Amino acid sequence: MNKPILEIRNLEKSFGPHKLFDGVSLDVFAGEVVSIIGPSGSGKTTLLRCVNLLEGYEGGSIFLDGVEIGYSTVRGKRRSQSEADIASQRATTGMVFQSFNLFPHKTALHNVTLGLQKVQKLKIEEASEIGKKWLDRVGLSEKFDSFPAHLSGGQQQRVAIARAIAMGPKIMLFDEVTSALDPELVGEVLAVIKQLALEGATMILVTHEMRFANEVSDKVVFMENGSIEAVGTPHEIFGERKHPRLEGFLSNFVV
Amino acid sequence: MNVIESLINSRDDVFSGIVSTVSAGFGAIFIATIVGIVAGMVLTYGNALVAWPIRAYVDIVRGIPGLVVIFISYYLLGFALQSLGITLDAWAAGLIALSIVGIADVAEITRGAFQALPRGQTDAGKAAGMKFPTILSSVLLPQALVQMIPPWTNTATELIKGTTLLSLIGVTELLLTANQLIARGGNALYFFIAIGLMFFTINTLIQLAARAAERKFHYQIA
Amino acid sequence: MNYNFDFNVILRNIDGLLGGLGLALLLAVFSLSIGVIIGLFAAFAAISRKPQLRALMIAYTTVVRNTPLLILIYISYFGLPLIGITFDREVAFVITLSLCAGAYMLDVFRAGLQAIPPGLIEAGQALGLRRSQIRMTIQLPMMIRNVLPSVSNYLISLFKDTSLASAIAIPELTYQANKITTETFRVFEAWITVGLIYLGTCYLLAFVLRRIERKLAIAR
Repeated sequence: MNKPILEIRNLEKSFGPHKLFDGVSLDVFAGEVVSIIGPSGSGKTTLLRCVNLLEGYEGGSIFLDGVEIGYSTVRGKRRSQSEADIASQRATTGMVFQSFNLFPHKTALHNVTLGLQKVQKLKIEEASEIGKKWLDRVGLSEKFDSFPAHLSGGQQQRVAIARAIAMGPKIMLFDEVTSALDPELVGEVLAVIKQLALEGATMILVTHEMRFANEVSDKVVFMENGSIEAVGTPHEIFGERKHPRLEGFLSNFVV
Repeated sequence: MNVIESLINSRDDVFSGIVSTVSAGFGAIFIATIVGIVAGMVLTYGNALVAWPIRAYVDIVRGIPGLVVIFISYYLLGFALQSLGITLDAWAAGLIALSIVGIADVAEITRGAFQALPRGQTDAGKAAGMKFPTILSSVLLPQALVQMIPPWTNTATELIKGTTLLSLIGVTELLLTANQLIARGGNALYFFIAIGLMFFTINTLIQLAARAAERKFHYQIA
Repeated sequence: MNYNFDFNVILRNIDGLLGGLGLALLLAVFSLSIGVIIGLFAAFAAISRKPQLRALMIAYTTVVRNTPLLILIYISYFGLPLIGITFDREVAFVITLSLCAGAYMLDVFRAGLQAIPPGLIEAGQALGLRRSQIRMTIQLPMMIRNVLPSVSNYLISLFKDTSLASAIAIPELTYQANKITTETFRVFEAWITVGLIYLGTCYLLAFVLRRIERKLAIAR
C-alpha cells in the first residue's frame, strides 16, 4: 500500500472551554472516497474545515501528500505557516460548501474561472476553456453566462463543484453539500459526485445521505462527540453495524 | 414674474452661486467617497492600531453638528493656518468641513456593507487558495460597493444640502446669493422656493444617477 | 502659534452655554414628539388604498428629503410672513424641524408596519376584528416595538440639527458659541468647549437610550 494522500494525526481542537477533538486521526488514500457520518455536533464539518485550515486547531498535524500543512514546529514552538503558504495549500484542495457560496456578482463561468485566473494565474482564454469543460461535465453547458440568482439550488451546487474541481485539487472536500437543497434537486448533485468518484477523484464527503454513502464510498467514518467511533467499509458500517451506537444513529435513516 | 426677472437680471451672481454650491458639494462628495471607502476598509479589516484612530475620528465627527464642524474649520483651522502664513478662505474651509463629515459617513457605510457580506464568500475565496487582497478586490469589494449605493446616495444628498450652511460663514453659494437678492428688494418666499427647487433638481439628478448605477451593477443574492 | 488659552472665558459664560444646551434639547424633544405624531398619521396614509393620499405622502417625503433644512427654516420664518403667516422664531423652527422629523418617521413607521408578518393581520381578520381594531391592537403595538431604536436614535440627530436654529438668532448652543467668539475673540476655547458639549451630550443620550431599550426588552 502506498502512502496516504491525506494524513490527519492526533488532532486537538477546543471551542472555548469545550474540547472537541482530543487526538483525532484519519488516513485517506489517493482515489479513495471517504464518507464521514454522525449526529450534528459530532465535529464532522469542523474536521473537514481543519483540512483546508478554514478552522485552526491547537494540537496534532495534517499532512497532504507527505508534507505538513497549516502549522509547523519552528525551534520547538508550534506556529502557523505563512499566509502565502496556507493559501497555496488551500489551492491544492477543493471545497464545496453546504450553502454553495457562489460569487453572486459573477456568472457561472466566471465563478469557475476566478480561481484559475487569480490563483493559478491562467490567462482568461485558458481558464475559460477549462471552466467550460467542467461546467459541461456537471451538465450546465447552457448556463455559462447565467448568474447564480437565476439558477436552481441544484444547479448552483453543481457550479460550486465545477469551481472546486476545475482547480485540479489533490482532494475534494464536500461539506453536507445536499443538506440545503430541496429533495428533488438532491439527485442531480449526487449524480455528479458519483461520476467524479467513478473517475477516481479522492474525496471526503461529510453527508447525511446514507444510501449514497453506502453506494459510493470506499470507507465510511462514524463520528460522535468529536471522536471517530468507527471506521469501516460501507458493508461493515451500514450492514453489520458492529459499533454499539451505530445502530441507534442509523435507525434514523433508511439506508 | 418678479422672481424670474430678478434671477435673470442677476444671472451672473446666480451662476457663481450655483458654481460655488456645486463645486463645494461635489468636491466634498468626491473626497468623502474616495477617502471614506478606504477608511471604511481599514476600519473593517485593519488591525487595532490603524483602525482605532479612524474609529475615534468617526465617533467624534458624528457627535458634532455639521454646522459646528464648519465653524471649527473656518475659525480654528483658519486661525491655526494663519500663523503659518496660509489664509484659509471661507469656501476652502467649507469644503474641508463638508469633506470631514462626508468621510466619517462613508467610512461607516463602508464598514456596514463589508460586515453584512456573508462569511461564506470569504470562505469560498480562501478555499480556492486566494490570498486576502485578492479576495478583497475580486469577491468582497464589488459586492460591498453595490450594497453601499443607497446609503451613499443619502450622504451625497446631505452634503449638497450642507453647502447651504456655508452661507453662514460668508461663502457666496446659492443661499447667500438668494439672501443678497432678497435684500435688494426681492420676495423672500418666492426666492427661497426657487432655490429650493434648484437643490431639489440637483439632488434628484444624483438619485437618478445612483439608481441607474445600481441597476447596472445590481446582482441578486441567490 | 501664539495663542494664550483662557478657559476662564468659558467659565464666565457657563450659564449662557448651559442655557443654550437646555434650549437645544428642548427644541429637539418637541420636534421629535410632534414629528412622531405627524409620522404616525403619514405612515398609515402612505399605505392607504387611496392613491391620492399615497402620492401626497411621496411628495411630502421627497420635498423634505431633497430641500436643505436651512432653506425650509428661512421659508417658514422669513418667507411665510409675506403671505400673512407669522411665527415666533422658536415656533417656526420647531414646526420646520417637526415636519422634517415627520417625513423621517413616515419611512421608519412604514417599514415597521411592513415588518409585521401579514399572517398576524390575517389572524385578526379571521377572528372578525375590524380594520381599526386590528390597527390598534395588532399593528400599532408591534410597530412600536420595531421602531423604538430608530426613533430614539433620531433624537440625537435632531439634537444636532438644532444648531441651525442659530441662523435665525435662537439662543441655543451654537448661537452661544458664536456670541462668545464675537464678544471675546476666544475662538479656540469657545468652539472646543461647544464641540465637546455636543459630543458629550450625544453620547450621554445614546447611553441613556440604550439603557432604556434594554430595560424595555427585559420587561417583555
